[in-house]
Amino acid sequence: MEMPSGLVAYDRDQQPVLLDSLWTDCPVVLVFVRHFG
Amino acid sequence: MFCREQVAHILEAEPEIRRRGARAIVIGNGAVPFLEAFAEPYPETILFLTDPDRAAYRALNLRRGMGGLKSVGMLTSGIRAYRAGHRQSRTQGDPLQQGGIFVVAPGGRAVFVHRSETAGDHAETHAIVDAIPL
Repeated sequence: MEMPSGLVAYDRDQQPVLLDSLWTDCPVVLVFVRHFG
Repeated sequence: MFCREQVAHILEAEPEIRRRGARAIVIGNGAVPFLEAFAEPYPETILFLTDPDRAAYRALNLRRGMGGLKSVGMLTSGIRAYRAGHRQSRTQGDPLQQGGIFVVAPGGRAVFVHRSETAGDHAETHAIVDAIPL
């Protein structure tokens, strides 16, 4: 499947990160956890 | 507890993930200030992000709910996680949200997809690593 584009998450510095930018150059293992706990 | 267990599995595999030229990224859904506390024990080679609106969770069809009959497996998963030393701390984020794993090739094609049915339903680590395109 193709990953949807335009999604944004936030880093530790509260800066927005465009998810598309994460897999432009190399593969990524994207782990969605249920929550922080 | 299950979140920490899932991250622990990825942490164990992280050297092999990097050897294959990939990067591990963990996304949660708690408020931004809680991200720092959650990510603090882990090396900075793993990128931690949060999606407080759960927009990515919805876009990727990650499940929300207890998992119906499949939630019975949570007991076994809970015992497994507890025995491995993982403990439940205060939940920061949506307690009904389920997680998942995507291995994404350069360009944006997901070559491995696992959507958790219930808490503790994690993909096998070797299957995740093997899916990384070389």
